[in-house]
Amino acid sequence: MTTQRELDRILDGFLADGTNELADRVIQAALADIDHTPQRRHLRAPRRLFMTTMQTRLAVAAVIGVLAIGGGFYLLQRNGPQTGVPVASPSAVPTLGASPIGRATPPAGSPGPTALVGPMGVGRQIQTSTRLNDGRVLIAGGYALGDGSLASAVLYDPVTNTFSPTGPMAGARGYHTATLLKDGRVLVVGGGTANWSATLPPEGAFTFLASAEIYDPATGTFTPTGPMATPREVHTATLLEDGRVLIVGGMTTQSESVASAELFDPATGTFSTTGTMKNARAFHTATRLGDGRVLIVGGSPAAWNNSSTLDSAEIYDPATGTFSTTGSLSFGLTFHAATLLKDGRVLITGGNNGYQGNLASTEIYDPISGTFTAGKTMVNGRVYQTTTLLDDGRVLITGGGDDYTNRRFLSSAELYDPATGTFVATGSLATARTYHAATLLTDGRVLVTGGYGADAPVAAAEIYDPTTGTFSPAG
Amino acid sequence: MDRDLVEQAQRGDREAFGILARTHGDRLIAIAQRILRDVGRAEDAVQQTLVIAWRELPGLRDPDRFDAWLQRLLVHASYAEARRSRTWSANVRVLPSEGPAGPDEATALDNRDLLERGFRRLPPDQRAMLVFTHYLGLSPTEIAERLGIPVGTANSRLHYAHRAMRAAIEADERALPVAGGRLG
Repeated sequence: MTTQRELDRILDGFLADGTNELADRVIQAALADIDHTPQRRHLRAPRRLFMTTMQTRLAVAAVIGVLAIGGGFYLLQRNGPQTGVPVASPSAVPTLGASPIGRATPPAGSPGPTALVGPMGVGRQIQTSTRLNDGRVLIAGGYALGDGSLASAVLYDPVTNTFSPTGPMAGARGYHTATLLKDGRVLVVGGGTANWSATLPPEGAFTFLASAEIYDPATGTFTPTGPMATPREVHTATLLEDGRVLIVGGMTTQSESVASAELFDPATGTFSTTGTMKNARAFHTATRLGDGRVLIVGGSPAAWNNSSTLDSAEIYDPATGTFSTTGSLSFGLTFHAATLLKDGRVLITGGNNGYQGNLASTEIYDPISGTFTAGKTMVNGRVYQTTTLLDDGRVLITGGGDDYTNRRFLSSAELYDPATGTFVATGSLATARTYHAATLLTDGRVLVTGGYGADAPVAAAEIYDPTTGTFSPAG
Repeated sequence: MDRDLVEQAQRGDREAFGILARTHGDRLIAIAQRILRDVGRAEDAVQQTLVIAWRELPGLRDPDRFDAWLQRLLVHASYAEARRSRTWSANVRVLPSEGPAGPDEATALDNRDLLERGFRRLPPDQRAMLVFTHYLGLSPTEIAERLGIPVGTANSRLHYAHRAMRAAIEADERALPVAGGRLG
């Protein structure tokens, strides 16, 4: 029997031998390659921005301000003052009347040049989109131009094809979650309050929200509930079969991922702690399986770090209130998407594996075997894409990031067919977008809202019709 | 010095990045070759790592972590290279350029060959654990932090890697194959 000490000695000697000098031609080849490789300058990374010096952040704020004012002035000159609904501050509620958004007349002398209006009102990204029981869609919060968080919310009515204001929320928030409860109300949880364009938070004072609110479609109002024990953003919220909501992971103060989970009980309006994950994670996915358990996949284990991703997955069992490990991904993933298929398996698409930011790879999780297997690749590599299960069992994948260095976002969409396991292109969005949202309507079409477009959050929405395979404007 | 160079490179200074590449290149090839067991593939992994590092450098939050960050990228590039070549499961040829001079040297070569075969059977993540442990001398906690994996994962990978290497050594002690043989 080889002892550990003997084994250590053998391996030390074995691994001491080998190449220790890199040939200069390799460095020359790499340097030749980087002449054609632009550096990735991320579109929006408030947490990383938060960690930079105050001087840098003030400089960024100044640039944003100049661009916003200059761009708005240019657009006003081009379009005339009658086209804009004023937005005094990105975090302010749009000052809209009862008429559908985008058709409202701006009040005379309205301050603040902006063209960030469209059918949805103010352009927004990283918002939530939740289909209500009556078929309308609640779109809440998110970030406007300059990363200002929004308290405002709008309702999309597919019958009249109009957006109208509702709410607002008590707190401006983005990177939050919104979950339809069994009684038809909507639970809004956590998120970040950043409003970078207005006032920069002092070093170390940035906070995420522990607060929660409930939207009542009958009254169109948000009412505070909770709060959670842990402030968090980029967490997940999953409706359990018994009506409670499972809140998992996310990022908290100082941009650290957390392993904790909480349960919201709509009967009492309170959160309580439940089991803790094996791994702290944010930017993960959570999918309720057919048997009521919840599959947690991948994510970022620490602070914002491009090369830090988790390949692990865990299962939450509501019966025991505990997490247990299950099969692992082929490699770590974050910013990916997960969709429950009609046969009970889970489709994992795209994302970032730590050093490649727009993967076309896919994996399928089988809850019976508890394993992931590689699926066929998508037509396009994507990150921050949306995936929506259609009524016929196919999955619609829209937009997302393609090349963040050059701000090239995708207008393309594709369909996954579980019968063949293949992806095929379908009609394209009119507006390329990432950080957007997609929601299945009761008639089988899909509403795509907001996101980040060519150079600003998008106020336009589109509807995908699976029968024609095309997108058309909404609102 | 690295910090200044990293910050310059983050701002797009290719000359600064070239200095960094030359400074860290030898360590990178040493790690990659030990994981991949092939100089050509290791060079490909290093080249790929440097290009990715250049592209992703603006996203590196702490310039003082450049060395660890670069090694993490290298390990991922080595995994990708290993996936492409599937080198860990087959085709072991470790033959001396000249025949052994005597019985002791022949035994040493045989031992080295069995270690090589055992090592190549390991998946790349376990190989990386052994290289970081026995070549770089890092603890599982340090490796976990450097590779961005949980400490438990690092410990378990190291445990399985050691178990596999121990099994390889003991199996070959029972039935030593001919050096230069091919495994399926």
